[in-house]
Parts: sequence; C-alpha cells; structure tokens
Amino acid sequence: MSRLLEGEKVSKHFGGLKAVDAVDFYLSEGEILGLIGPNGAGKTTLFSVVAGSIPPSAGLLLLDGKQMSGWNAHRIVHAGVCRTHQIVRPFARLSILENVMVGAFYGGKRAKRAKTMRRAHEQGIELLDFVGLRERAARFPSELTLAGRKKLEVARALATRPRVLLLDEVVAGLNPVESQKMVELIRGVRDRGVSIIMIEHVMKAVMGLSDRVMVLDYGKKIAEGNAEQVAANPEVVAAYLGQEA
Amino acid sequence: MRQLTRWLPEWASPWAVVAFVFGFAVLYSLPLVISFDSYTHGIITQAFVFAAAAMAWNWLGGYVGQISFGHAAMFGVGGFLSARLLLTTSFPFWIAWIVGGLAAASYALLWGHPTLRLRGPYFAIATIGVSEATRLIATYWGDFTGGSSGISLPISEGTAKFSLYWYALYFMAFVVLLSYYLRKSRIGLGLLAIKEDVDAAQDVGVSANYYQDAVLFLSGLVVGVAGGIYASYFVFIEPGDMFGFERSISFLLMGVIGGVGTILGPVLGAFVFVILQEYLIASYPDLYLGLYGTLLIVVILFEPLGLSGLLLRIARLFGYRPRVLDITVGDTKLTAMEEPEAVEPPESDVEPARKEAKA
Repeated sequence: MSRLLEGEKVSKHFGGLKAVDAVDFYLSEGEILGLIGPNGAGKTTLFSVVAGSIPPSAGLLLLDGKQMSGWNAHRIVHAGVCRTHQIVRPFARLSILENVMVGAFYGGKRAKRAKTMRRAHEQGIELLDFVGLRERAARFPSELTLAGRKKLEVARALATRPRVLLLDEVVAGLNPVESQKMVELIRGVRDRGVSIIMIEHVMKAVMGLSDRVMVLDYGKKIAEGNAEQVAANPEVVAAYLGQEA
Repeated sequence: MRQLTRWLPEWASPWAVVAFVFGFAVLYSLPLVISFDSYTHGIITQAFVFAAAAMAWNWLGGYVGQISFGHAAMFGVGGFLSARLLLTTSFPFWIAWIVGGLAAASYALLWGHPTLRLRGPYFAIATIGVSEATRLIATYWGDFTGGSSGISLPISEGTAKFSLYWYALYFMAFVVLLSYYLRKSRIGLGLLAIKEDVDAAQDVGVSANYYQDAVLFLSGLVVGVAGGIYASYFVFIEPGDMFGFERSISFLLMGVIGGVGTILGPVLGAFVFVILQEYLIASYPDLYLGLYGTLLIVVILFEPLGLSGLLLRIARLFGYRPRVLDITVGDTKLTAMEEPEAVEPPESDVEPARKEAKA
C-alpha cells in the first residue's frame, strides 16, 4: 500500500503551548486510521493543520509525496483532502441539497467539479441517497437530528471528491442504533475508495473500524499500532486512566 | 416557453426574462410617450442610477454578508474622475464613466483586500474609516476635486442631457442581469456559503478570499460608474456630497428598505428612497435624516426583508405559496412547500443589518 498522506514532525504551537508536538504520521491508500487520545490531546488541532484551517508551526505535510503544508484550506480541498467538523457547521439558510451542492461545485480538481446546476443536483442527490438523507433534500439543516446533521457533514465533504477524508467525532453523541448506522456509513465511504482518518471517543466504533490506531497525549504521539496493541499499551492506559500514585 | 428555456443559461428562468424584457421596453419608451418636465426626468434618471448602486451595495451586504458604510468612497472616485475626464478630454460619456468605474473598483480592492478578512462589525467599522479618510483627502485635494466649492461640467439642458435617461436605463438593466447572475448561478451558492460560515465554506473548497475580492471589485465598479452618470446628469459635484457619510448611508438604506439579500429589492428601495427624499427634503429639510432613522428602525423591527418581505406577505394573503425549492429526481418530486411558514426564506439576512442599526 502506497502512502497517500504523510506528516513529518508536524507541530502547532499556540504561544508556549505545544498543541501538536512533532507528530509523524502516515495514511495509506484505502486505509482507515483511528486517532484517539484524552481531551485536549491535540487531535482536532492536528486535523485543522492537515486541512489547512490553521497553518502548521513546523513540519511537513505531503500528499502523494508532494509538499502541501502552508496551503489555504480551499487549496487543500482542491488537492483532495477534506474535513468534517466536530461541532457540525451546516450552512443554515441553504437547503440540505444546496449544502451538498456547494461541495460539488467547489471541491476537488477543477476538471472534475460540477459545471452545471443539473450536474451538481444529481451529484448532491446521489450523495444524500448514499448517506440516507435523500428524502429530506429540500429541507433545511435545522430540521435534522444531530445524527442527520453529522451525515450531512459527511455528504458535503464527500461532494468535494476527496481522496482523504478527515472525520472529527462523527459517531460521538449518537444513540446506539444511529452509531451502528454511522459505522456502516464510514465503511461504505472507504469502499468508495476514500482513505479516512477518524478522531473518535467511542472506542467500540474506532477500534472496530480502524486498520491502525494512533494515540496522542499532550500533543505527542504515544502509541501506534492495531487496536489490540494500542489497547494493551501501558502508556495509553495511563493517559486515559491516570498513573498510579 | 420551452423553446426559450433551451436558449437560456441555467440561471435565467424564462418568466424572469419575459418580465425583464417587458419592463425594459416600458421604461425605454416612457419619455417618448409622456413628455416629462425636467424635474421628473431628473428624479427617474437618478432613481435608475441609485438602483444600480444599491444592487451593487447589496452584492456585498446581502449576498456575501459584509455590510459596507463606505460605498460613497467609490461613488466619489468614479464621479470625480469621470467629471475630470469629461472636462479635460473629448471622450464620449461612456468611456469616461467606465474609466471612472475601473478606478473606483481598483481603489475598492486596494482597501478591501486587507479589510475583507475582517468579519461582522469589524469590516463595517473599517469601511467608515476608509470613506471618511477618502472624503477628507478629496476635500483638501482642491486641484482635482475643486475643494469644497466643487466642479461644474459643461453639460447644458438639452438633448445630450435628455439622452442620459437611456444611458442610466441601460446601466441599470445591465446591473439587474448581473444581480441575477451573481445570485442564481453557481457563484451565488458559493457566496451564500461564505455568508453563512466563511470557514466551513473554505473547508469545502470555496476560495472565500478570491470571491469576496471579486464581489467588492464588481460592486466598486458599478458604484463608480453610478457616480460618473450622476455627475454627468447633475453637472455640479462637490466632495462633501459625493464622498459624504450620508451618501454611504443612502446606499445601505435603499438596500434595507427594499430587502437585504434579495435580487430586486434594492431597485424598489432606490425608487422609494429617491421619491421620499425629494418629498422630505422639500417639506422637512431639518428633519429628514431623523425620519430615515425612524424608517430604518420600523423596517428592521417589523419586516426585516423590507418591501420585498412586505410584498411576499401580501402575496401570501392572496394565496400565493412561494416555491422554496422544487427538486425532481427521476420520478420523485421533493418540495419544501408543505409548511411554508416553517421554512425561512433562504435569502433573508437580517442579523448584520440589525447589529448596525443598534450601533
């Protein structure tokens, strides 16, 4: 498996606080990488850096071996990396379909973007069908449940034709039935050929889905491996449960 | 109708085109059928020019959601530059206006490129600073603007001035088309996304900085040309009037009265504004600004979408149900019509205006 996305010594400092501290990571083609860690470990900050929402303080980000650190968010989306938001951010006064159409019009390589309303319509409906929101296409995001809004975030991100999707806690906060559906949805996304990095607190979901898991604590990578290895790692246990005195 | 639809770009609905052509024809032939006195002629021409400027203000204030209190800066730059060109060269009107407009647009970009990164009230505050600074520079740069005594153009009453009616009409018609395009095409969706949440828009690939700059450039261009036509028609201009804060506020008022974020609301707002202004200045020269303030408060409190919202409300009384969305996919038809009350009209944008009004 070739390395699609790679980070070398990625750091983000806010003043004296090292939110992300020299983290090395990679994501292979077709892989699901779980990203876990206690609250404040720097997971979302790492996402924001990778997605270009904030520039890295140091380090390199490579997509297909090409340098892309310091690019604007929209340029990174055009290159094929798209994120969702932990706290969902739908465009409230656009209909659900229009939300997805924005992604279809503006995401991905120029040649592949939707050029006409009709085309964006079709792509939007196809994606809403995929995430299970098709019947609600003409409604507004405020009429959706939290699960629905999280699905909308995924659909909107998928509309940008990403090669790498960054999912920020899409399962957290859902009831068991919804969680199960979301887990299946994420598998479906991978089956469409999209590689995924997911931040998740719901251990059952992240351990079940991930090919590989990476653990952050205080901005540093403390463990990496498959689900069993990571769960058995004493440092990880300490980070979550605290050290014995 | 079906034939027509095939020839039209996606963003133009056939009924809108028919209405546009009809409206244009009526306004075009109006002075040929009825002979206006020069006062009425002036008011209507002025309304055309201000309608265009108000739509241009609305692209920024309503479509992108960046409220400007500084559009007088571009109005003045366009007005004075084209007036100077008409005085010193033998250019025809329209070249002088376009040069003035381009200069105004470039000037807008100069201060807008850095300030458009500010959101909410901060951009609005920056625009006040820019327009006031511009006004002061213009007032003290007497060689160019004539200082506080202004400059006069050698355009006398007669056919040349009479023909400005049609120039103003062409200009307004062009801006109406541009307004439709900017709202109904894919660009319109991108601008709405920026207005809703600029960061989320960038995270799905909308180049927010580029689009905001582009809209400001277009807006400045149109307002600059409006300033040029205004100067040519009214012959005498001076910095205090062209660059004044009241001028900036007038564009905002037209937008708010007509309906912020709507396509044609500002046209309605401009006509109402011009007529009100003539009446109020004539009757209550000391009170009229206060009356505008009152009007602004009434609109924002009771009908945030302005006259457009009011018309929609009246139309509803007569059983009209606006189609919020109508999506047909294969055989299924999805509509958001069942509970129109529950669905907010997508174009409403009241929050920024409301904040400004309080301030």
